[in-house]
Order: sequence, then structure tokens, then C-alpha cells
Amino acid sequence: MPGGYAGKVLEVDLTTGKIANKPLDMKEAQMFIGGRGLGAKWLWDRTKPGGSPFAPDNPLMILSGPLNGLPAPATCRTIVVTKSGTTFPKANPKTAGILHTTTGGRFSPELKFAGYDAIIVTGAARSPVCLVIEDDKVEIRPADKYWGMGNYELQMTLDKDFGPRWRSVYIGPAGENGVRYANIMTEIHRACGRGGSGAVMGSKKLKFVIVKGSKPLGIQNPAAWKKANISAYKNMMSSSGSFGFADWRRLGTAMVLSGASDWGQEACYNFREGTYDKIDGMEGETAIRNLWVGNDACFMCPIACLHKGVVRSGKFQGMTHDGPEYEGVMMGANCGVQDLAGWQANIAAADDYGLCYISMGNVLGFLMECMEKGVITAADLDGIDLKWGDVDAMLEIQKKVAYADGCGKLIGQNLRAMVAAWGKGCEAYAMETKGQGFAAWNIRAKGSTMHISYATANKGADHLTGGDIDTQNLRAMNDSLGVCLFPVLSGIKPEDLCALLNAATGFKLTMEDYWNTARRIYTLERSFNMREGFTRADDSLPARAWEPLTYGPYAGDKLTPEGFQKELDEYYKARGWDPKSGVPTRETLNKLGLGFVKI
Amino acid sequence: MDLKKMAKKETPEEGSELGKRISAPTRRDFLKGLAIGAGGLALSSLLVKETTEAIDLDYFPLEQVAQGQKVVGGRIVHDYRICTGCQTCELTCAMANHQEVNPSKSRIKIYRYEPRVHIGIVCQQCMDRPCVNACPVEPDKDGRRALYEDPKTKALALNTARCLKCGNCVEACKSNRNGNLYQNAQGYPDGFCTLCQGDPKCVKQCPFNALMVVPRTTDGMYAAKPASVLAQWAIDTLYGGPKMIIDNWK
Repeated sequence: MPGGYAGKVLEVDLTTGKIANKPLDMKEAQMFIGGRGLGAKWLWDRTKPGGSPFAPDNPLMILSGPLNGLPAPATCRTIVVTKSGTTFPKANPKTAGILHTTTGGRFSPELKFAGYDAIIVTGAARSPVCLVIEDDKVEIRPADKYWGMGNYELQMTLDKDFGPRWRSVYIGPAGENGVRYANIMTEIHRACGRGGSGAVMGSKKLKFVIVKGSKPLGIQNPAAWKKANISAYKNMMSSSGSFGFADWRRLGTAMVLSGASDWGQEACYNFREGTYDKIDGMEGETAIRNLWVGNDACFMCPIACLHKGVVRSGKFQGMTHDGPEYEGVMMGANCGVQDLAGWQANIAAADDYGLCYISMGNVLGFLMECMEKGVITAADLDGIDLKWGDVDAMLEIQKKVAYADGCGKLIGQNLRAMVAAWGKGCEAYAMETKGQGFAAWNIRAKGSTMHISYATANKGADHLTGGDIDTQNLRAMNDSLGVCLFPVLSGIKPEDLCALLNAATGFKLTMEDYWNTARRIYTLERSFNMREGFTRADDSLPARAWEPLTYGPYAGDKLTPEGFQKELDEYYKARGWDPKSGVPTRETLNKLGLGFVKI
Repeated sequence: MDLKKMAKKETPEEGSELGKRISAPTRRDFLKGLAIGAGGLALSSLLVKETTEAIDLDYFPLEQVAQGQKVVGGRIVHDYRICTGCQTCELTCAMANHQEVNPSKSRIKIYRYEPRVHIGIVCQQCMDRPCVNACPVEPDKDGRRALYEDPKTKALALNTARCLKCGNCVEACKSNRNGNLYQNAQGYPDGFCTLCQGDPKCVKQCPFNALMVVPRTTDGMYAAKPASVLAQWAIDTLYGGPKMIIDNWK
């Protein structure tokens, strides 16, 4: 087995309880690298078009990349690929798009040290189970004891029952109750965010996967590895200025909390505005003074962008949690909150329930606007009077959603379900693409390319996919290699990553091959969506995109439908997809080695 | 509650449980106390009393260790206030001492506890050496058992040829100290720190400078506490002690 990979894939069928091992197909690995790429390939092979994401035959794949666990910067990402619980085409709500989502932490390196590149979970158990992996010993055990636990309680119980060196991924109550935007979580507050991976895991009645490994990983060419590694560390740690290495370490993504507001790109009041009028006390500098006690890193990460914190006064005094980081804006500015501790409490609650706080914040913003505009009343929310900035009401709604209680049943579906139930023109306030709510970046200010990311991302409105083709390719490779995006944003070059990949595995990829691999992965994901019934019409933006911003330095900025369609045309052409239908052309597919794809 | 009050509140009373636990502060704590002001006040009042014995504060300056100056008679200390749990030290150690990318073989181990603290456990080079004393092998002409203190580095070393694989040393470490010693697959004791022959790699590689070498001035029974004990202390001091309620949004 060449270095980099662990060499085995673990297949678990929860219906029959069968556990099998198969060797990793190296030809496939060379074509799709690992992580997000291999996940897309396997999902293509293993699913038929039209199935529900919550059907037992939908495979839940927890993957690693070839660089995971190796001594290079931030080789920590755990990648989950499955059919999305959130995204579906407008024309056919019964199917689902692809979901690829990553989290930091320490799970996938440990999985590789246990000897597996990936876990493929199929079937569904009758009663709650968990998967315990210790090197070659793999067991499905009953997990009734753990079912229903919140993530704080669960992580602490696991630490007690197994030990603090075991690494786990799990779901909270939200995942158990099938909330469409529940996450798979790890280490309490790291999440495979967006797209309902937790709901898929919950539908299989799998509470957690826990792993401990003691096997070594190989590096094919140590001399080349050392050279590439030094270059990578140097490029990263020598980056300076704003968004340089020091900024990343000091503030993490919270460094753009005030910046995004100044650029008119923050999500405020359910995306009505891009500049937040109550930004005072809601930025990273305040968090440093009033909240944070230290940095927290993922595996091998020299940045440590997360900050652990404790609320020091007020109603939530003594509450410990990480954050806020930038995407926390969805629970903050997007809901009109100006209360750092209350904001933090909402983030902590979402993480404890296993909710995606990006999606949850989006839904809360939507609800607040619906209340304000009179679409719904407090009676529709079981008597909760939800107003802008009311952190206590937000906590109550979150609890209802996580336990699918009363109004939480409908709210836990997704924006489209609420629009269908309530009507009265409230689709104008539903900020979503392909069923997936927007993340914390507003799209209308000049200079923002986020609208392309939201519209074209294969997993629905996603802020990490990238606003142009080059960025999308770069991030597709990152997710496939298992390397975090943030070191790349703070200076590591794709050339370094390519050299690291070659040195670890013995592949001989040139930069052209590297980018072609990225195109191959992205186009395969797109093809999967097209097979599921998505069309170009699904690459859409909500009507609010055409309304101007009214506040701040970018007041008056807006997108136009014509301009957006033109940008899309150019995008498809550059991708080698048919501009009319958005389907990858046969020529493109053949060129990228995707001859097996038939849509 | 502001930071100052928190720090004050955490100042252990003389003779209290917490006070006993930190009765043997390290030089690093002392420096921290000076450097970070209010946060370190809790310790410094104690320290002034306790560290009147002359400790050469510049004994192992980090820069010189980084430049390859050999370390003799030191121990590695881990600062939970700085450590982010990235495990760079683990991979470095495993690669340096076992030539493997395999953190489970590392001789320094980072344990994660919630609310989030990372506790680094590494051989503290206990001056009374309970592990060496537990070794049943007859001392040779240099007075060395199978597990012995290398006179060059004043750190532990193992003579595999003489080791009986009995596990007495592992048991001694487990029951008396932090329990970092373990029996490896071949049965030999592992997990003791050799200070990389006087050139501690983990200390040099830590991206946050959370590891440091300090002189051995205290007995291991103070320095080498098990991870769970240190974790409780770390959580109390980092997050504000008994006032902490992790899920009070409920």
C-alpha cells in the first residue's frame, strides 16, 4: 500500500449487523484522491436516482483524505458524504442532492491510525446503536443509554466510559428527531455543518461512532515530504498583514465580524441589510476582552482558530463554550441580536442539540421577519412572541425544533415547508437555494462573489464552495485531501499541497492533473445532482437579491436578474457544461475521465 | 464578575485542597505570574513564599534549546493555558523516537477534557525515580538497572538487553505518578522521556510554545499528577471554578 492511505474501507450494514472490510481501490483513489472526491464517486455508484435521503439504502460515508493524520499543517478534516437531508429540486421534492460536509477535530486522523480510510454505513438499526472501533476490532453495540443525550452530556459520558483519548462523531437530540438541518458533531462544538448529515445518521439510529487507533501511517518519499512540508509551513506562518497568520491565530474567523459589516456583506435582519447597525459589542475584539480564555486547535493545526470562552457576568454567567466565530452571525446580526452572552448561549444551545446554527439562524431570521410582517402570529409559534434580538425566545424555539415539539415539527422541516404551510407571500423572506438556507454572507454589495457560490454550490447555498471556478476547484481539492481551508487562506499554496500529496502517496500528479482532479470531482457532484432531477432553474437566488441595500457604505447595491443569468452562462461555459440545461456535456465528461456518467 | 475578582476568588487558602495541589510551583508558573498580571495573581502570592530557594531562571532559555543547546537534568512541562491540543508534539515524538507517524506511540500525550482543556502528560523525570527503584534487575558495575538514569542527560534510558519485561516500573508509575509509562507490544516499558538525548524535539516543534524544559527542582509526586487530577484543576482555574455551569441556557 502506498503511503498516505490506510488502505482499508470499513463497510457496516446496520440492518443485518454485518461488518466487512475491503481494500481501497487504488485506481479509484488516484482519480478521486479521497474524502469529498471518493465520497462523490461511491455515492454515484451506490445510489439509484430518486431515493429518499432517509431511506436505509442511502449510504452515510465518513471519510478521510490521504493527508489526514500526517505531520503537515491542519491535516484534520473529517468528511461526510451522503444524500442531503436538506437540498432537493423544486420540481421533485422526493429526491435529494449530494451533501459533502467537513468538520475539524481529531476523528479522521484517528480513524486512519485505526487502519481505515473510510466508514460506509448503510441500513438502519431497529433500536439505537453505536459503532465502536479499536484497530481491527469493530463492534456494533446498543446505545440506548446514550440516546437522547445532548452533546455536552454525551461527550463527557463518552470520555468517562471510553477515555479522553478516544475520538468520536455523534448526533444530538436534533439528529435523533430527524430535524432536516441537524449536524453530525464532534468534540461538542465542531460540526459537519449544513445539509442535515445528522438527520441521516439519526434515521439509521446510529448515535455515535467512536474510534481509537494504534497503527502507523506511511509516507512514500520522506525526503520530498520534508521539503514540501517546510515550504508549506513557511508559506503559512510567514504570511502577514490583515488575514495573515497572526490574525488567524488571534481572532480566527471572528476577525471579519466587523469587517464584513463594513463591506456590506454581513447577514443582518434576515439578509435585509449588509451592514449591521448594532455591531458594537458583537465583534472579535469584544470577545477577546469579555469572553475568550484561550485557543483551541484541530489535529496538527498551528493556527487554532477556535477560541474557548466563558461568559463572565449576567444571566448566562459561567457558561463555557467556544466562539463566536464568523458564521455565528446567523444567530447574531441575522436575528438582530446585540448581546454577546445571549448570542453565545444560542450558539451553545444549537451545538448541544446538534443543530446547524447557520441553518437554524437563517430559519430564526425568517420567523422573525414573518412575525414582523404579520404572516404568522405568536399562536403559530406555540405562544412564543419572537421579536428581533430576543435571545430567550430564540432559545425556546431552538428547544422546540430540536425535540420536534409542537411548532418545532414544521420549523424543523425546512424553509420551503414553512412557505408552503403559511403562504401569504412569505417566500419573499425565505433566503434559500436548492432548499438550503443562506449562510452568514450577504450577496448584494459590490465586490462580493458569494451569490455565485450560493447559486452554483452542489450542496445548496453554501459559503465554502467558492465564488468562482478556481476557488471552487481549490476547495474541492482541500476537502478531498483532508486539509483544512484556513491554512490555505492564510498562505499555503496549492503547489505545496500537490507536492505533499505526491510525496505521501507516490503519485506523480502535475499541477494540471491536480486541477483536472478538482474539475472531475466537482463535475461528478454536479452530474449526481442532475441525475436526481436538478435543473438550471434550481441554481437560483431568492427575490431579495434584486432589492437594494438601504443602510451603510454599500447602500443602494443590488444584483440584477439579467446580470446574474449572464454570470451563470459564463460560469457554465467555463465549466464545460451546457449553458441551457446546466448539464455537463459529454465532451467534458469524457475529457475528465467521467465516461461512466450517464444522466 | 471581572477577571480580577475571578483570580482573587481562585486564590487558594492556605492548607486547602487546591493549595496543597499547587504547593510545588514551577519556575514557569512563576514567570507566568509575572507576565500575565491579574490572571497569574492567584499563583504569585504563593510563589514568592515558596520559591525563595535560588532557581536559576535562565537555566534553559527556550531560544537556546531551539538552537540545539543540550539539556541536562531537565524535565518537560506543559502549559494547559496555552496548549491548543494540536498534537504536533505527539507526532514529533513518535517520529523522533519510533520513526513512525503514530501518536499512540508518542511519549508525550495530550488528553482532552470538557469543558475544553488539554492536559499534556509526559515523564516528569521524578528525582526519586519510583520506576527505576521498582526495577528488579541487579544493578551493574555502574549502578544501572535495566531502566536507569543516563548520566549524560540525567534522563531515563532503557537497556533492552537486560529488561525482564516484568512491568514493575509501569506499575510503579501508574500507582505513584502520572502513569505515562506503559508496556509496549514487545513487553518493554515505553513512554519514559529521554529528552531526545538532551535535544527535546517536542519542545522545539510546539507551534504555541506550550512546552518548555525546566530544571528538576521538585519531587515527581508534585509534578507528575495524573491527567484527570490536573484537568480538574485546569478547568477550575481557566473557567472560573465552582461558578461554572456549562449548560445554563436550559
